[in-house]
Amino acid sequence: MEFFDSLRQGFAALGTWQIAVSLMLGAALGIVVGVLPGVGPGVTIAVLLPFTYGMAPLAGISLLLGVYCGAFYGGAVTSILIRTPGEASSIMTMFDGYPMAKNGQAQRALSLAFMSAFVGGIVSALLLGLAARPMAGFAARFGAPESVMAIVLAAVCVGKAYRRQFASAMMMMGIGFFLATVGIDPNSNEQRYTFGIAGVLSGIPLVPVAVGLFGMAQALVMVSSPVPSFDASLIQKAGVSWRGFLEPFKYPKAMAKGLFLGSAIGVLPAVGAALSTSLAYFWAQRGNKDRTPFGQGNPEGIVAAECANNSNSGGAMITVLTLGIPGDAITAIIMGVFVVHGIVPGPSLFMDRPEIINGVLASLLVINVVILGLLVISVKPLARLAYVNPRILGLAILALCFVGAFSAANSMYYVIIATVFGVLGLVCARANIPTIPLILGMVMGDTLEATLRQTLGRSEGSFLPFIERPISAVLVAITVLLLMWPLFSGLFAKRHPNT
Amino acid sequence: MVLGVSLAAATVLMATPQLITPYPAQAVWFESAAFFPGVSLALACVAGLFELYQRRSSVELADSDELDSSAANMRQALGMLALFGLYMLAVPWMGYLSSTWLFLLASGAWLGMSRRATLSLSVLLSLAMWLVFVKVLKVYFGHGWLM
Repeated sequence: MEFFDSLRQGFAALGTWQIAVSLMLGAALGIVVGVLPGVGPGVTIAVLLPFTYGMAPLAGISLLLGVYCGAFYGGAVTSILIRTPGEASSIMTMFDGYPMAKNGQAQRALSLAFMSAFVGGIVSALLLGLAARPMAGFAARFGAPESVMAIVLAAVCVGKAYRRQFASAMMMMGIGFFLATVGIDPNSNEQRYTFGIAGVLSGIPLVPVAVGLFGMAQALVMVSSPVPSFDASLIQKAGVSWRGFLEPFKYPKAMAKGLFLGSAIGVLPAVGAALSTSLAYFWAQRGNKDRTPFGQGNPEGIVAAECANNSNSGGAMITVLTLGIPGDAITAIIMGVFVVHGIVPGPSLFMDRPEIINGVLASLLVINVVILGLLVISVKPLARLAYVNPRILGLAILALCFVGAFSAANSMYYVIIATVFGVLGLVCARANIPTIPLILGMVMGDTLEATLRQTLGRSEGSFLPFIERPISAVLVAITVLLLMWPLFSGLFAKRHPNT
Repeated sequence: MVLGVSLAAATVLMATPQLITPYPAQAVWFESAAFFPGVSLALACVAGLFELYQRRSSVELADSDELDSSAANMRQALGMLALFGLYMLAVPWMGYLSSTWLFLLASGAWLGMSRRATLSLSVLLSLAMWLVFVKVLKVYFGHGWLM
């Protein structure tokens, strides 16, 4: 009952023209950037972030959520029609979508993908509504030690998500934590690492860092890379079929597998949609109903992958809203909207600003409906966007990065920061070093420092509170287990070489 | 690059007493303003050294799922960065519209795009951006001697 009340209040909160326009614009932009070659939701959201400052919080969040969700749908178009996934999470859709399109069933493949993504998006939004409140109730029992350990566990999960790049991810996380400390210390008013520069006193702002690392670095790579060639003949065949829209419901097992993995993995920090889609795809291969081999146009492959892909969005928002811990780089930037408006994500948000929580839930539901509607009426012209030269797009993004960084504070200082981090992003890409952990570290650094100081201050420097309190002790145990896992698995492999 | 980041983190860590003003020498370690930055820098330094060890020991490392720059021409990218630097200087001096137009024109030429594409892109995009950001969203870029 409480859930339906929240939903009703959420829809009421969306009932202003500003929010409605933001929602539609975000959804349309999201689809477009999903189709455009090389442009992802991260770049778009980073560039759009400064423009959300002047908006009502829910309007800004709806705009960015529209881009976030729309890109999942748009990515399927290029995966199916030109065998070029816009995002890593769309690769699995390509495996069966492209062969299906090659066999003259492009409309069936697109319809399967869109409807599966729609079901994923709706279910994940409902899950957010059902799970967020109990989870916030649980998180309300968190004191400073639990908050410290939740962030430390999130940081370790981020590192683990990069698998064999664990060390470099942790290095960048450390740099992110450090950057969050630059400026005046809120506790003691001492100037930390400011080099006497007035602009740095208030800290290193998130917006130009995100614009530089995601926008500028991506644009520089796009303008300096050769233009890819592809077989564009299938683009003419873009469209949707009503029979294809109903087809995903013939495969409830594949759908359930995708929904389960997408929602569950979406909650884990930084693990992201790419892992959930691949796991769902391989799981769907077991006990599949359709006899077409996987990789040659099996509809269940598309259904499982797209359901998993789009059900991540709700899961990723759960940790942001209940714990104030972003699940990935995009939700970290979306968290920037909360911070700018003085809204502190976490359990208290449910008491202080319920309209935001309910609004996010309602806007996720509406966004998915709007996106599906837009795709039905415009998929054919949209698919033609795949023709756009990535170099032209790169130039446009570079010019937009300038405005995006400048307009955050009407200051050239922000553009300089964006450029510095753009160069860093390019160098890191060259050296195969991930940059997303840096942003996540920057976002979580303030809270980590404040709660760590609070815990250690109360215990006179003793670390015992971390293992004396039950929730914190469990979080410590999971963190240690995650860190030690390679040792355990190595020992197990030595003792049982044949398993 | 990894070595550079590790060394930079170690250097800043060592120089922390000079980089925090006034340095809280009397504060207990857990209340000191230097505590958390120190932990963060130590994490960056140690993780960087570990990554370096893995790379030197030829431990198989995965490619990042993030930005793929393997096919990028660094000379072109650096040239674009230089043009962007000039663009940053030109905006307050010349004005937003004219400097954006010139930046796009010069960039198109540097990237070897056709004259027609460069000219149409630079004119259309600079005009559209000027209209949206300066006229509609009222972003103030200062008074240049041109528009």
